[in-house]
Amino acid sequence: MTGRPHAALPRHLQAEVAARALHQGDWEPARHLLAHAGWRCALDPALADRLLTWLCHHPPRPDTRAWAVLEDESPLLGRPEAWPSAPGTPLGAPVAVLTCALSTLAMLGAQVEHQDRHLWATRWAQIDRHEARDAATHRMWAAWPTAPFSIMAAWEKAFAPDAAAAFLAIAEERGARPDLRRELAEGFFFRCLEPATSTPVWRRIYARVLESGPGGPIAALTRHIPDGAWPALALAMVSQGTRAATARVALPGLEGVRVRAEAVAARCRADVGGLEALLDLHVALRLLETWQDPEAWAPEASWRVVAQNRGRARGRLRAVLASLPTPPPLDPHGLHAATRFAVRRFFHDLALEQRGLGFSLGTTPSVDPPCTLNAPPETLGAEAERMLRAFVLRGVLLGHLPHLRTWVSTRQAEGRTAFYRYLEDLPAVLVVPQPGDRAGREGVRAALYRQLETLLEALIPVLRTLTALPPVGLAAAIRQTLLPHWHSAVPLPSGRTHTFIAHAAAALRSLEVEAP
Amino acid sequence: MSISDTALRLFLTDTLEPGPAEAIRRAVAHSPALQRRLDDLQSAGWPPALPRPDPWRVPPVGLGWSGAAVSPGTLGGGVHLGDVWRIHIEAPPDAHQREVVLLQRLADGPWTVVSPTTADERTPVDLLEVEAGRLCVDCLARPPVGPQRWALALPTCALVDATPLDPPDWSVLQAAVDAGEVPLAAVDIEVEP
Repeated sequence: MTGRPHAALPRHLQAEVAARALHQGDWEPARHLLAHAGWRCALDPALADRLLTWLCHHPPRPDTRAWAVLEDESPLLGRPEAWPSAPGTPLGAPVAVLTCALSTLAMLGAQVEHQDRHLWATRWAQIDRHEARDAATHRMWAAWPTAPFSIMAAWEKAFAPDAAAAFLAIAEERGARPDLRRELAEGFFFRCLEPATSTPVWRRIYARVLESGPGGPIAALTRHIPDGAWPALALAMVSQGTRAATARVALPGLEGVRVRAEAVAARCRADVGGLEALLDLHVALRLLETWQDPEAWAPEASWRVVAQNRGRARGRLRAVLASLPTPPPLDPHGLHAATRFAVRRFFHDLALEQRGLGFSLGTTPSVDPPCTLNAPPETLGAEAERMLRAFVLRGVLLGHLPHLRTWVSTRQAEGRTAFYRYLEDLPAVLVVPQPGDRAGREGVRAALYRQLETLLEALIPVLRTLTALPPVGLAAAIRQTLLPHWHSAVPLPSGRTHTFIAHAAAALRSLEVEAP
Repeated sequence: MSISDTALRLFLTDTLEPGPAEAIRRAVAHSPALQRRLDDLQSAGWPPALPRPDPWRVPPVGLGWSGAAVSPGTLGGGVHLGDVWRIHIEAPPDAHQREVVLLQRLADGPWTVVSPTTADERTPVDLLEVEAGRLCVDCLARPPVGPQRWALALPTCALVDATPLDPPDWSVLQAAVDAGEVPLAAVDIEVEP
């Protein structure tokens, strides 16, 4: 069976159609169902393939309660009483399990689409735009880095009431202490100003203003991540815990954290929706994992998984933006209203953190804490790049290019002894042993993942020259041709020179370049 | 769907994210009782207005000039009336050009200058004891019993020179504080009988 589930069908019936097809090896209906519901990862056939493969190989364990709520088209969120507390009977039939998973994923995807994207976009479209107030707010933001006290009075007048209302709304739960209003009036500016030694609160609020942009918070934040920040951010995205597990699923052909980070960075730089697609995959995989417990199928519990993971990602993105040396520019349109909302949201979260701690303004907040990304992988210097180019050229001439390409992605070379001997010739300065990388080649592998094709393109002229050499006096001519492109840290290839020419021609063909 | 007063307060001040806000908007549209609760909160003065800040812009305890703290010996157990207690504060780079202004706030009252009240009480920073690289200011625990908030400002001598002390007019110094030119921090103590 192929095609898309009929959109007019109720969601659980669409899911059942998709589940039957998926069980028979046709993934398109399931992919379409999830993509239509709002899962951005399902818009990318490769990511959708990985998610559905995972679902089929690691089926979750719903019981009859999960099945019973499928027919309820209205979201059960906000109605925890609708989930029966007594355990149900485990579902055994694979199609029923897949139906439950696809239908619940579709329900949650639609909720994310509506709540985290559509409503934010609507809010942004309807934001109060007031030229004079927006311009004044823009001037205030411009003054924060260099002359904050010059805007103290204006900042307080414009935004202290918002901060206080949000903070007091939480504090009033337990009866706010009498002097809290005065402390908010007098302390709001100072709370924004500090901590001076790490990311001050005004920078954290600034990041929340950026979050208010069109397309929902994740898209709005992602749009402001500068290209230069992606390597460190991507490394954090693929390095630890469940994020690392998601990266392994998303990039099955790539081995090693640094190579996966390169791939993620490249994807996110090239496509502003790249991060949200990966985040959606992460959330979906987290759901599938938690759904190994039948109790976790309760809509409220499932939504918590979604909200926590998306919220964590938003927090980290805000922290990255707040700690950039140069803050990204702000859109002046609607800036006053966006700043008021950002202030309210920050002080709301601050009050939540201060619950039970006396609602003090003076404690260093851990709301949107400073970002502590690992240092990004160092880029190679000019000298190291020349070595690497010579090393790649040596590999091409020795006939190792296909294995080099495989090794760069997978760290494997199908047991080719000659290729591993070639790797032994890597210049010592490029070999940096680290924990988990005794051979010390992961840095070179990551650099080649990023640069190999560019290096090869740069080598096209010399490869073409080599393939055009006359057969007489070939060894000397090859040496003569190579020397201007060589680096003394890499041994020149020696031996059967005629094979070098054949390998150069093969490399040109793989680059879709005609030999002369 | 049960909705707490906190959620309604947040809704009224447009603090909720769009999703939860929409859920409350829908619930209110279908529930006169909820609408009444919203009306009640508003007529009870929500959101509350903020008081005008004190002319002395003293940061909350924990913020402001770095390192202000009550000496560890006086923490926890409180200070008895008549005891001498100590404020530690990090010295600004030009400490030798500065002097000490000590303020106190009791309960809901305004900040008042405790020292100097006369020219004789002026205390250059150079005269302060230094302990582990930090300035120490000794204070006498005075009534009333209970929590007290103190603040220490380190203005330049020139600013205090420009301040009439009899009768006192601290507006020049307050303007300098507003401009962020005066190291200033507050501490809390608990005075016991």
